[in-house]
Amino acid sequence: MSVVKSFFFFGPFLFGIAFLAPLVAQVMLRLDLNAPFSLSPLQFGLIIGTVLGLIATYRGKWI
Amino acid sequence: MTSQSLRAREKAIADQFTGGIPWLMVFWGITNTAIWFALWPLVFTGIMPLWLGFIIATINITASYLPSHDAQHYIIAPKGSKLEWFNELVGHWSLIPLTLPLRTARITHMEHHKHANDPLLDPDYSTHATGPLHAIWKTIANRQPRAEGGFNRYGQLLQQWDSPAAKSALNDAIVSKTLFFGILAALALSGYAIEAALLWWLPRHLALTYISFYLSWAPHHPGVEKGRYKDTRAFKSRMGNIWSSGMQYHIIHHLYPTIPLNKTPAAYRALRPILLERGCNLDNM
Repeated sequence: MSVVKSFFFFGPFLFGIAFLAPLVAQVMLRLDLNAPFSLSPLQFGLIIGTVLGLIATYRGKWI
Repeated sequence: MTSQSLRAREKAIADQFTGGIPWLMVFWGITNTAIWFALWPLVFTGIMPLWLGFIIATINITASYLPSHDAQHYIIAPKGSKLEWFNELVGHWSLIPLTLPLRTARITHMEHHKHANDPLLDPDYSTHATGPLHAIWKTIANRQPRAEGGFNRYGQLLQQWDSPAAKSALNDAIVSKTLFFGILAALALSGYAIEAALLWWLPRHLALTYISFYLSWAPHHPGVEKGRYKDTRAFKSRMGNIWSSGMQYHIIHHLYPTIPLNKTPAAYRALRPILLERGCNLDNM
């Protein structure tokens, strides 16, 4: 059970990189938006997903 | 009239509304999930626009709980009967879009019936709120990663109960949650993140908000009293009975959980005089 708890503890981080990151990238491509600093959509998505996921993991809440 | 004879009369009336297979709920449960599954190839192949798929998926997932709720109570077929497998099939199948396993839903829901409005023992107590906006906020707050309410509360209680049934329900919940996020991630990494978000992830959140509001908060509000005739109520919904998922008559369900959802309005009308004598909160219904 402790392994499962640890896995779910990091769930927001995993959700951030495995779901939010590609979601952000694909929304940008669909809307033809450019990422800042010459980043690719996926790089930008990974930054957003990682940061949001880490914050949610630390705080225990997304909002 | 004594309390015992009143109870006997109440039961005699309620018995008129029990028994038989509630085919409406069976049809609803089977077709609802089938439609939700059909959305994926329809949207992926471009036959259906994503915005339409999103609307239908939101309706599907919102409507996915109630057929399983009848199955949780073995209304579709009694436990131990030849058709129990059919009851379980409908219960499991209808809940797929919501990613709430039947055994998890059943065991926690039965405890809710036993201990409705008890802050420590009612698994659904975390939906209690002071008003509609607060109720919506509570359901969102309960879904945060380390929230103490909502499905996290189910997990805590399942660990506390420590029975074989609770362990099975907990395992189901772990597998279900892992599969849900695993499938979302697989779809996203395959280039279908927007489709996954709009056919499953966001509709599920909207559905859980609705379900928590209308199926848990509204029928129990203010939720301060306990006991057979006090722990829930009848109420007039601004959305009407159908759009509030039949919850205007939730008091009937708590009194007689084996009455199918679609028969609770008629049962309510028949039982109303007795409920008034019992001092139930009927909200002028």
